[in-house]
Amino acid sequence: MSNFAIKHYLTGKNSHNAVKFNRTLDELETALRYTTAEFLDNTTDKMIAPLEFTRSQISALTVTTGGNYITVAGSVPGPGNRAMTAVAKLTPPNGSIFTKLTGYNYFSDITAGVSSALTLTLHRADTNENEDTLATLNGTLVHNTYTTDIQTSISNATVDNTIYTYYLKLVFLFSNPTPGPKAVDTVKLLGARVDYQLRP
Amino acid sequence: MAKFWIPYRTSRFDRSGLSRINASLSSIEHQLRAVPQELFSADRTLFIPPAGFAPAVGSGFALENDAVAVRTYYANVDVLNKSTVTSIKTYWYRDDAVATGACDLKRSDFQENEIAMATANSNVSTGFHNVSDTSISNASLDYDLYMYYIKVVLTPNAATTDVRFQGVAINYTVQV
Repeated sequence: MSNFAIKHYLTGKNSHNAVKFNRTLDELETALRYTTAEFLDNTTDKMIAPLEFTRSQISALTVTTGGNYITVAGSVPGPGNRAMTAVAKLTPPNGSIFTKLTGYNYFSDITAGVSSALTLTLHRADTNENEDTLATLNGTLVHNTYTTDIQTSISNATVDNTIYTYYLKLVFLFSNPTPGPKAVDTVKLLGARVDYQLRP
Repeated sequence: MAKFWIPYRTSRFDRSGLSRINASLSSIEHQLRAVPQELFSADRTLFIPPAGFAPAVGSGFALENDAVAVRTYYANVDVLNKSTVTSIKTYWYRDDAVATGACDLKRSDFQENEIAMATANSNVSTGFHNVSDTSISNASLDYDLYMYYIKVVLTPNAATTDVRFQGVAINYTVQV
């Protein structure tokens, strides 16, 4: 947009200048609508695609990330457990308030005797590695079923980027109580969503 | 956004009122100068560089396979909800007629039902070139129901350098 000329119009008192003044204000309003489209509604959300989760700990499980899912493959020793942890960073505007955490998953119970769990947690941490868990979402795993889970109970929900960083943590956990290794079940995360309300 | 109230005040041509209006407008102008110029338009572009693809292989300026084999790469597409995609443009290098490079803009719901919204594959084997697709299916984006991503598949023939990918630009219009 070129320089605003509104202040010059205001020195005149004739209707011609008033028309130009109104037209310039219309242009200004249009420009603001484009620049502030994200904030016209103070409630918004951030979709975290499967691609945005990065493995944060070494695991014997193999991670596969497609365009629309993240999953793991491999075996779990028996008796024993095996887990894979991944994280995705969040950059909510300072002062906004988290209102909801949503997770989308798919489960297929392919191995008898293996129990599976998928957990999504919303965290904040300061630079001294003090980590708080703001919300926990335990995935509902139903054989051959796509499931959506929602958590609206969020502690320390007001974002303070001056002190904390924010991130989602995803954990796949498999348990095998009987002797001998077994293949893990198929558990997929199809994405997560964090809803937040912008500061007025 | 609410309509500005300033035009109604000006009908009085009150000098003290005009001074306040001028001060307000100067403040608005000052703040808007800090906004990138492209945001003053509904038409915008998201460019995803090679480094934005997972798993990222090759240099920072090109996506290139780690072996003479088929490799698939994905990148997330994150633009303003309810925007409309108008075109995509991909950038390639290819010097082997048998090698192939494919790029799709994809949409998926949360039950893995996936469609290709646009396709712009490498189409010559004489070096650097770009390919556009302006025919976008389901062009209006709805992040409440879907996720969006770019899928790139590189299939070299004799050497990993046969086909390389330098990025994709996604042009879209913001809904206001």
